[in-house]
Amino acid sequence: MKRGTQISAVVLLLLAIYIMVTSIKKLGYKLNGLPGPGYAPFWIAVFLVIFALGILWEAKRLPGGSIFTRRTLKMLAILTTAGIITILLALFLGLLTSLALVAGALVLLLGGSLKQAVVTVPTVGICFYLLFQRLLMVSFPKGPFGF
Amino acid sequence: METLELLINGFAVALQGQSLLACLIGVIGGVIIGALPGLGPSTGVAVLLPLTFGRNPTTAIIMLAGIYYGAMFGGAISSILINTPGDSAAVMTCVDGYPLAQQGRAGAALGMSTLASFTGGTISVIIFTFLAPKLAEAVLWFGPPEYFALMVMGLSTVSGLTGKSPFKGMASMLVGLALSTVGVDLVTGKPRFCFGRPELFSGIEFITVALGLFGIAELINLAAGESGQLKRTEVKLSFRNMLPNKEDWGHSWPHILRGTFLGFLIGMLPGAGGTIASFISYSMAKQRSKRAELFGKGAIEGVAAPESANNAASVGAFVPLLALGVPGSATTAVLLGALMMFNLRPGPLIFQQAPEFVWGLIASMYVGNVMLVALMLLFIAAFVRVLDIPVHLLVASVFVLILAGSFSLNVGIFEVGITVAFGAIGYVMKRLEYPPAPLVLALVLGHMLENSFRQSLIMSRGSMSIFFTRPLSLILLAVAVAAVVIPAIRNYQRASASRST
Repeated sequence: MKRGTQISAVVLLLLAIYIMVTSIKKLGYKLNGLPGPGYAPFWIAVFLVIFALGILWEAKRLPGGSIFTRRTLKMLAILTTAGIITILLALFLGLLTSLALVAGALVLLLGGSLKQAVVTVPTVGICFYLLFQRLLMVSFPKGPFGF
Repeated sequence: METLELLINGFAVALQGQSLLACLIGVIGGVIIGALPGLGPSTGVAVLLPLTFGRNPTTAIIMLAGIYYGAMFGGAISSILINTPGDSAAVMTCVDGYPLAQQGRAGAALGMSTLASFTGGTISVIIFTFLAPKLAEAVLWFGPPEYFALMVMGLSTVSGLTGKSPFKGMASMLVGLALSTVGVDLVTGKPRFCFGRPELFSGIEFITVALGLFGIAELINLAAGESGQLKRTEVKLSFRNMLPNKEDWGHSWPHILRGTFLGFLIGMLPGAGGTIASFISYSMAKQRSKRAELFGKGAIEGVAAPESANNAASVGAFVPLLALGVPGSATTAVLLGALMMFNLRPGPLIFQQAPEFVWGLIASMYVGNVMLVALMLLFIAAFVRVLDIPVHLLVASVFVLILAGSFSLNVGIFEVGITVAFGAIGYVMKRLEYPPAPLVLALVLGHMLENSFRQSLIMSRGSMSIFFTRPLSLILLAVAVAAVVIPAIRNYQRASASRST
């Protein structure tokens, strides 16, 4: 917890410094005596520096130990990867097919049976087709199968 | 008298077939989402928001509001049956609800929670009906400096009071504000932090972020916490065994009434909300009860008090949202974003500019509460079956629903990427105890905050003194500072005390 909080505070500090530099150098702090496009981001970053330092100071009395267990890290990796794979697959197979396949794969990876995964794929495909494409008229990117 | 006429007109809107259907779908969806451990009202509203795209704004918001207070009702189901709260506002319901279920009184506990929620919700809607328009009238004279100060106060109280560390709350809020600056600056036309991506020119949509922070992050948490199926107390539920007996009522009614008024007041405060309301209501009930020794072991009033308070708080939260245009909680922040997506700008003028919408929404809350009490008493056995859904099926289906919803927003894969990224960030934030609500609230309010700030400086020809020479603005800013400084000092004192012992 302590190390994780310290790392997060450093990330916030770096983010704040980036925002400050960009606000002053690229966006413009003032315009005709009034706040320019960089004015608000600059002050947001200044306050972010103050609170990030506060977090660093507070982190001193936090307990040690990891914020993740094996299981939490595994679930974070599974769902984040599933999201990225959905995006990549959608470019080739269309979004509907991609969502249905990823749903089936997730059922398996999260501990479901093969039968449940196989049933999930067409169920998600049909339900999402009816809900999004028919009812809500959202046009999903299409794949080689025409949907 | 005028209020009653407007309310009757509202009922004409709320009782139309389309509105009734939207309300019914909303409350059923809300109860189901509320009953599922880990998925609270903010997740429910965010996940189901894309399903309202292209609909009539009034029916869409009626549905989303139904999800909000429906989730408050549903939160008690898992608290009582599996000792796991559906959302944080239902934590206190576990304390006496689960022991009651173990004693074979799950029906009475669920019945009391339903009736207490109904009473809390309905009395609060009545207060809301008469209070909100008056408050809106009172703040009509607000200028940009007062609005700026009000938003700063709302943001800092939410950030200071949510979570364990006010520093982390403030940092979360500031990241939200920084994200709100992404996009083309409306005054100068200059792109800010767009990295040459045209998708970012119009800014980052709050809903893509909310879907990640509230939706995907909660799903990761749910998947990481439970495997297989949730184990619930086996109970036989029928209409008859859900009705509390005379003795139960005798013990509970004063606590229900106190919880209602307390919950409504706390719900109106930014950052407080249903969780704090239910905690305070429970502890007051325990202090004032003649049988305090039963609390924690299965006192029926221990279920009634927090449930009336958290439902009253969910209605109270609509007062600042509609009357001031400043949300005080994560769910109302998502609702504000939804209203803005439908080109409705909450604030004092909305009562004059869109009376059909406002009064239709208020009337729908009366209707929704009646629907909820009927659904819960008659079909509770069906809602309880939701807990039998295996976690892997639930996580997989809600996950792809979130991605599809994110895509539907702008019909773009880029948005899906943002949602996935914020899902991972949200989960890390959760583990590190950074509250996500201030980030979403700041993202929603960021544009308005910057506009009010700039307008104020134009009024004062660039002088910051305008914020400190107008009394109300000064008071609001002082409250904003206090909301961060006081919890920080308390944290420091607590840490010093624990070090010395």
